[in-house]
Amino acid sequence: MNIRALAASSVITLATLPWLSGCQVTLGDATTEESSSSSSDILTASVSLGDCDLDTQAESVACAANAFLDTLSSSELSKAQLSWSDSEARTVWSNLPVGTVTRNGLRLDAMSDESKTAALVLARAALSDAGYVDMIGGFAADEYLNSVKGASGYGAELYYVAIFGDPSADGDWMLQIGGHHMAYNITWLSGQGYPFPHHKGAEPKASFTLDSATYAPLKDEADALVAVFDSLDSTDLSYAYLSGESYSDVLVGPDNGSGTLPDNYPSGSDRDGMLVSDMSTYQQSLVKEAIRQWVEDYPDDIADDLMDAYTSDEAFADTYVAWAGTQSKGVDVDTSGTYMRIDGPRLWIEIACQGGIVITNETHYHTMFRDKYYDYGNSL
Amino acid sequence: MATASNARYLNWVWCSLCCWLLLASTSVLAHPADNSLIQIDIRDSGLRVHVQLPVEQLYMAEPALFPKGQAFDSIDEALPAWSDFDQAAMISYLKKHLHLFMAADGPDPLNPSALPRVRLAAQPQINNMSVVVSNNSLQFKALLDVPFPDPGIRNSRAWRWLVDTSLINHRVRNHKTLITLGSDALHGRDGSDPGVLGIVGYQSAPLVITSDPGSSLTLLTTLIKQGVMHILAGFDHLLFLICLLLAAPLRIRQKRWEIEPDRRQALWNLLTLVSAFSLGHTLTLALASLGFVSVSSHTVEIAVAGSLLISAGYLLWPLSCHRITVVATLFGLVHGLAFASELGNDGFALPRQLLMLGGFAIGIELAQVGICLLVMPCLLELARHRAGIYHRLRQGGAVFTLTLASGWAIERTFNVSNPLQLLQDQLPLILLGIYLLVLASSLASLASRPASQPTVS
Repeated sequence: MNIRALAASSVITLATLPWLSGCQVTLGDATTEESSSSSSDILTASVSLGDCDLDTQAESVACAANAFLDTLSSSELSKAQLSWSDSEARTVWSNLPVGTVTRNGLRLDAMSDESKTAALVLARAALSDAGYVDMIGGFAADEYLNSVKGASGYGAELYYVAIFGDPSADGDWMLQIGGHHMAYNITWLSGQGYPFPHHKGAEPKASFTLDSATYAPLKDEADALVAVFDSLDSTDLSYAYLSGESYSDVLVGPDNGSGTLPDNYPSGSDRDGMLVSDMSTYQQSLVKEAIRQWVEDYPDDIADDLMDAYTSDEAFADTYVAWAGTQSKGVDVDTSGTYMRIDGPRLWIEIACQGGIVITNETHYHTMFRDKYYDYGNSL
Repeated sequence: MATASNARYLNWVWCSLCCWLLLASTSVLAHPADNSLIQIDIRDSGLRVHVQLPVEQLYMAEPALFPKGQAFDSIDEALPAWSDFDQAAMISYLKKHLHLFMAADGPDPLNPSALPRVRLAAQPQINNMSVVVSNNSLQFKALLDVPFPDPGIRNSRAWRWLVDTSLINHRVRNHKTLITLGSDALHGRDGSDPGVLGIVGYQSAPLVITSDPGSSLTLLTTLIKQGVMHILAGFDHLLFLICLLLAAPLRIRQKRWEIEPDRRQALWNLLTLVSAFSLGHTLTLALASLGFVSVSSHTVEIAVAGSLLISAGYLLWPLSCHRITVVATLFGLVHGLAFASELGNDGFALPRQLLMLGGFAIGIELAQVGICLLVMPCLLELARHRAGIYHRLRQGGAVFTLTLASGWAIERTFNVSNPLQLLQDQLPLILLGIYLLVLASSLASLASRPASQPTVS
């Protein structure tokens, strides 16, 4: 476990000198302030793959990654391109704002316009249409916190792009796109993409309007999962309830530079909830829809295989849906502490509703999408 | 004159800059799923365990602890209700979910469950339970004292300590606890730089503490460093010293400050004032840290702020010409009590206490001498050859000190947050800026006068 990374993100208050705490306060990111004027470009840019629209997604995304790297100066390149063998760096990502936990790579607001466009093309190649919309929605949510809610340390361009190794259609490399409430970790091994761990969060969680465009980056995901629980009768709902457990956040959250796959998935009798194979066909289809909301952030080349693996009869015979929170309130996303998850033999999806940070009278979402065996392509 | 107004201008620049930075960063500081903190101090008599638990998650884990807990619009409104927790239930909760063991070397040192162990006192003393606002969230704090069962084993380095906690995460499955090592008397480690021991979560194995053995020499040098840093980072002491230095090249005539024409007298003033202050604070530092004197740190902190207000006021209006060396000694006594509360060598064996006291006192004196050597030549030069600038500097310094001391006095007397926190946070830079301006003015003064000017004494 990389202790230093978690310690850095923790608030150590037991023994701070006044001098030190003064310094800590100023960590709040002096470089984040200039973002608001140009941010709308990113949110509204129309992006096409152009020359990188190739036969397979692996080819397209490698082409777009190399095109992005080609736009960088040598000093930018040293930040943006990291060593494939550095497993600790590959596991550095977070849900927290960028002023609190430093991310890998080069930040959008530090890029030339050319590099910024190339970075968006790269994201476009790495994600499906729906996934790209969600990513832009994530940028917009942060911009909303900054420009509408007046919170600093947030903004549409406070997101980083990092590439590990040399991108190629049949080699081994990894792409990270991340910032506050966002962590894409997509690993390619010999042309096969492994898009996990994937963290998305959203504050505000409901739909919001920014510059007359409307966004709701996690609404579909949460609604689809809530629909699963809404379809259960009261007996099954209490059967799916994780009695004696509470969740103030997702369970298998940021890896904090551990360099290893997480080891804290529930096992044995802790794997609890309603078995999907015990549900009706209709209820199973709702589970499938919920899973689709996460998996189909990625192009068919990746998503089709994953959907097959996660929703086969064999998988559903070992997949639990479960929830926690205030039992009397039911599965209510507006109640802080409400928690839902899908726990399969490989698949791990969870969503936690926490009190808001900027919009304090509303809850907000943290979600995780992991594959217990193929996070980081199982190549750490 | 230019110096003083430049200094004030610089203050404004820094002040507005730091306001901006502070406002810019406050929202970043809050995040809901705070982890718990457990800091272990290994003392001669036993373990002292500082526990800090985020209230929101503690409530999630055990709602019965907070019968009056409910949502509030602001954290200040929330504090009284959440502070009114069920004391008895809290004590049994802590005892139920936090266990400390001593462990002998086992066959597999990496596997804590294989270590033979002895449970430390099943009935720890639990003190100082309170709910405080920290980093914009409510935190429960407590101090547990766990005596060693057998005084003989405490000197054996073969023993290790095991921390087994299920606080909060017996229920909140995602919750994590950060465990740090503070002071370690058995290995000569002071608590100035807590080291991270590990992070534990739901059903984690107990954490094993093994600390790096340190020698008496490292303890001494660490304490010297701590003493130096205490003066440099403890701005109230630093400002008091600066007030003394500002008064040194002066004398009082008809209830007004004027420049002391006798250079030797000015140096004598400096020597007596600083020695008087040192004498006072060394005396109380020794008495208080060895346990002969005990004054509540709250009272001491208020008295320190008061001493600053009085000395800064005196620097503006020297109402009487009573012996200021006596005043410096008296205030030295007050500041010494404050140093003692910072040293915190309570619970260590006497030889170790003396060693720590000595190191800390040496550090404080080193810092003082260093500041005198840096500042005094400039002040003497300005006082002698730029009396106008010097008086502006004296007045400016006094007003600046009065302002800051008022902030501290309000903060410490009424237990509220410092209204001048923004200013205080930037003090290192402000003081450095002022010093550079003073240095530049004195160098300019030195350069603009003939090399050897006869002095009249």
